[in-house]
Amino acid sequence: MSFSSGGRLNWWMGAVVSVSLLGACGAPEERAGEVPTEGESARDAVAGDVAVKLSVPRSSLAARESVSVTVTLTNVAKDTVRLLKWHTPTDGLKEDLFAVTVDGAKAEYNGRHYKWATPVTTDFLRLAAGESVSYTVDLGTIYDFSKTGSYSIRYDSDGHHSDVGHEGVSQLRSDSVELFIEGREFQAPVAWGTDSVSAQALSTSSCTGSRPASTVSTAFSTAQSMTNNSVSYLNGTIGSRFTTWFGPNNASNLSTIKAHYAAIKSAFDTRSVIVDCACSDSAYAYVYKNQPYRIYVCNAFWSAPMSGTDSKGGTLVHEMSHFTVVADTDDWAYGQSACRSLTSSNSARARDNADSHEYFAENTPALP
Amino acid sequence: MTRGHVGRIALLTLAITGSGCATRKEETAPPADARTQEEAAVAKTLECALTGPAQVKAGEPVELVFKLTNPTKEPLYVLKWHTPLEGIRNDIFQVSRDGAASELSYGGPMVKRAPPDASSYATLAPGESVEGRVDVAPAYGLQEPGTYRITFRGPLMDVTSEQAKVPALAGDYHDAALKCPEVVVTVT
Repeated sequence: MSFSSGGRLNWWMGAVVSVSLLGACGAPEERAGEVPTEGESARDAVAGDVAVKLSVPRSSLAARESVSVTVTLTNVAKDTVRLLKWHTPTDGLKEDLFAVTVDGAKAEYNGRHYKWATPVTTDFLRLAAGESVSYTVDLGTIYDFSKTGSYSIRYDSDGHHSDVGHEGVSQLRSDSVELFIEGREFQAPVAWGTDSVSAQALSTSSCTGSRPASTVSTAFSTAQSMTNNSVSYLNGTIGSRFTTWFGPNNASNLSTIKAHYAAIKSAFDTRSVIVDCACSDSAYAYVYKNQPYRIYVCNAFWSAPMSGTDSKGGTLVHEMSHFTVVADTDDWAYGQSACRSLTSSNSARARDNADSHEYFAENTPALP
Repeated sequence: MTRGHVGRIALLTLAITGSGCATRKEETAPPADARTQEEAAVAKTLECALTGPAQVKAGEPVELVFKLTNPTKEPLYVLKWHTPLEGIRNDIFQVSRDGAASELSYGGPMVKRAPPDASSYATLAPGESVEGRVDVAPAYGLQEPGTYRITFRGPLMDVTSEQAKVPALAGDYHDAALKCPEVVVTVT
């Protein structure tokens, strides 16, 4: 989820925003005056209060490219309104929120259908007047794009499901975007561990202009590929790729690192990850360990390559590994040279070091 | 020292390890490697003072003053990362509360740095000092009444006396252990 207003490298501001949006627990105590006002009144949005805009990075997609669509919701009313989150991609796509047609025929929705309970306060997303949020979603995991053709995609929160008793709570519709899509086999998202299946749920904040949400979305997919590759490697023959970054290959060390990547994978695949682009510091990125899953990307991220050493994809792996509920890593050393040295000087720290996790995942140059 | 706080100064020998390692290892022996005679000779001494208020009211800032002094006869260049000279951008302090079993958890940012440039370093001319002030209360949650013990984790991630090595290239950092005195603060 994203708030296009706000944002600079003021970490208290960041902390407060994250807390208010995620309801994250274990956040540092806020000081008076910095806590967002809770309980402030907001009326239910009615049709026309919230403008919905869809955007796509390109108008033509090859079969190997994801159907990534950015949804921007803007409160164009004069006061604060609230929306039911399940009419938005706030927590991932949990409903049939898009009208998708190919050459005039409806494309099947293969995603989840939820039976929703009566909404409570936390089920609402609040938008102040003029505020906007945007989310990038991968529609390829929930709609059938097996046919090659001209697709029309429109956001329509009310048209496809019935949530009896909640009609009229919010009405969100966009204009259509038209794009040509090369057919690809429908692939349901893969379940991992004990977590439930879910569509990719990446949202972005302040990712506009020269810091586009579409780049973040590609970085996110790259991070997922790197993580999947790491998990596969750890289930196969262990060689110098492991020992270079994590030290001796023994059962205990291997089990520690396997658990880390399983947790990183699970987080990328099943959690609502927020990438915040407002930071203009020279750093790559930062997070607050106790505020999953919000990742702040900074200047060096934007000049980094998509994959390879110190890349965009790898930076997201690094940051994801920091969260206490993921792998709880620290920053003991930065850079490949220092990380390699760490395995001989203090290999327990190598296994607790975020950059070491990044380099293992990036695997550049590739090691066996 | 500043603000009338009791200052304690620790003198420590900084053995520059030459392992090319910007690590936070503390008491581990430097790895034996092919460090040159010249590098080994660049052992430096920096003085560290860490001071803070003896007592604050709950909710007030707990401002620590971190002061590095160069008592040697040559200039020293110190990478500011993971020191209060750059503020609190990582978990750089160990904070415990008397009577509590575990350390206080750190709630501040964890920053992945871009390669350093010249501005990432503090320059200390012979005899000169640099100072950084940070409020540790929000990042470590020193909210409840009690007595807290705060230590700087260290080490300094890169220290050199050669201007040509600023900034360190390709991660060729030379870290230096630095143990600053513990600060004890009572929150009432």
